[in-house]
Amino acid sequence: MPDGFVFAQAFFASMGVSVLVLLTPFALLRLTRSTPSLHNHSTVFSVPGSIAAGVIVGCHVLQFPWTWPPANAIERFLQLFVPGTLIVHLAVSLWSHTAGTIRLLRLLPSLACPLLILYGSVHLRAPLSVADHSLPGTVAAPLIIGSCTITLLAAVFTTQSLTRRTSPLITGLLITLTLPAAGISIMLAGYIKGGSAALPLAGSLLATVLGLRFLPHEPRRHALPDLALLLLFGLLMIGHFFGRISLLQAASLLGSPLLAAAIPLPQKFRSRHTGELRLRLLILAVLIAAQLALAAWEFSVRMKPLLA
Amino acid sequence: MITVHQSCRIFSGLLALLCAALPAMAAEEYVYDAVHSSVSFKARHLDISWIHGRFNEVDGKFSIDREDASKSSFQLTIKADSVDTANPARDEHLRQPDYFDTKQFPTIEFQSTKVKAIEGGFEVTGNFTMHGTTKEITFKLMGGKQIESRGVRRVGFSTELRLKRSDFGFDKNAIGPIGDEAIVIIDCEGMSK
Repeated sequence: MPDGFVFAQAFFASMGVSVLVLLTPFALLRLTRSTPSLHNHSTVFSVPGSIAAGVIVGCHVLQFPWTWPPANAIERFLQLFVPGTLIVHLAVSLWSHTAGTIRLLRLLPSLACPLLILYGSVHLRAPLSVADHSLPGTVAAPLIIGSCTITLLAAVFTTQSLTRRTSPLITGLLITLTLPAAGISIMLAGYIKGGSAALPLAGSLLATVLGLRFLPHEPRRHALPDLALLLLFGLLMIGHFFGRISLLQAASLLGSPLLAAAIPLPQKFRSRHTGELRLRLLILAVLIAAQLALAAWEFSVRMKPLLA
Repeated sequence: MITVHQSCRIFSGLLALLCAALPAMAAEEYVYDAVHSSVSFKARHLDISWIHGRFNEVDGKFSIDREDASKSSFQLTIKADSVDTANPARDEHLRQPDYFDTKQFPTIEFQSTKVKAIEGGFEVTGNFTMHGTTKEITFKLMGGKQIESRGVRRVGFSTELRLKRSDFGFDKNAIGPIGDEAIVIIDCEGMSK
């Protein structure tokens, strides 16, 4: 049965570990007054390292089984997609590439995400019997993969353009805060394990976004909104294709942080960083609260009698 | 005019043909009759009562060799999506990944690997695949009485399996008020092909 205390433990454990992994190298380098080049090398590993450590610890608290090979969508997401995305993030930071190569590398997780999550599922297979009214897998699969990839790429490009206008930390924070809301929606629709996976992801990302505020010269922060968006999209895909959250619910959860980041604000708010942050957080809170209220209502109608 | 020698050749040819056909005739081939069969289950609720359900879409075939039972085989495919507990909301919940995960694992399958004749039926050993996990199980399949009705040969079997969901990779945290053990009751009738 879902246990709120375990969920809170997973969230805060992943946050704590991520902060430690992110900030400890900087603190040590500062104490030892190391050279700037060493400082730079340490930052390359700290962001993916802190997210990976947070996710591992959070999943451990939630007692996620680490089975190999991963058998279902949530295992493929946590064991292949999340590490793969972090490795790409690391590769982009570590080696000096041309702008084209960087763009191509950053697109790789977006292209792989739908296929990896839907791999081996009925969405990519032929129907089991003639009684199935769904489209045959051979026709439906390219349609599903294509539409998911196009949506994700559109969301990635929107996020990248928003990052140029708004602070990447604000955009990253807005997307990160949508992750637990997506998790709760998936849980309320009846998929507890899938929804709970959002907590380690949100905890570690939140710790990294907040931690980076203390490292003003960290250049890798521009990639954080992309990273958060990929994780949010993957989770929503699982919630929609394997759980019972509707396409509209998934689309509105994906769109909420982007809308909150895109809405033009009056100049007096934009001139002050905290003022802009507060207002955008407020917009996101209103959007998320409306969606969570709807999910809670559906839960009380459909699912609550089953738990009595 | 056929000579004695030719008659002998024809007779021995027919005999050889008959002998060759005998092993094939010994095994009776049947297909699962969905109209007169059912695969149902029950599981404990809060350890005080039983929740009952069934699978509405099942397919299968079996081959019975009454001379040599070890040559018999049984195969059953259950469409997990067809789970029906007379409560649509619960059925939707059972289809989700915390339970059957029917989008990832659309079928529950059994394929026999060893069959032994016992009094009143067969002892069947085979691979049972559910939720992407395959386990070897052994059970007593009672029945096997054959009748012919309206030109169709029919045979009936029944069995009861006790399976632990946790053995098949179901999420232990989702087991909750519904017991880990489920009793699967199979009553099936086969029609000759």
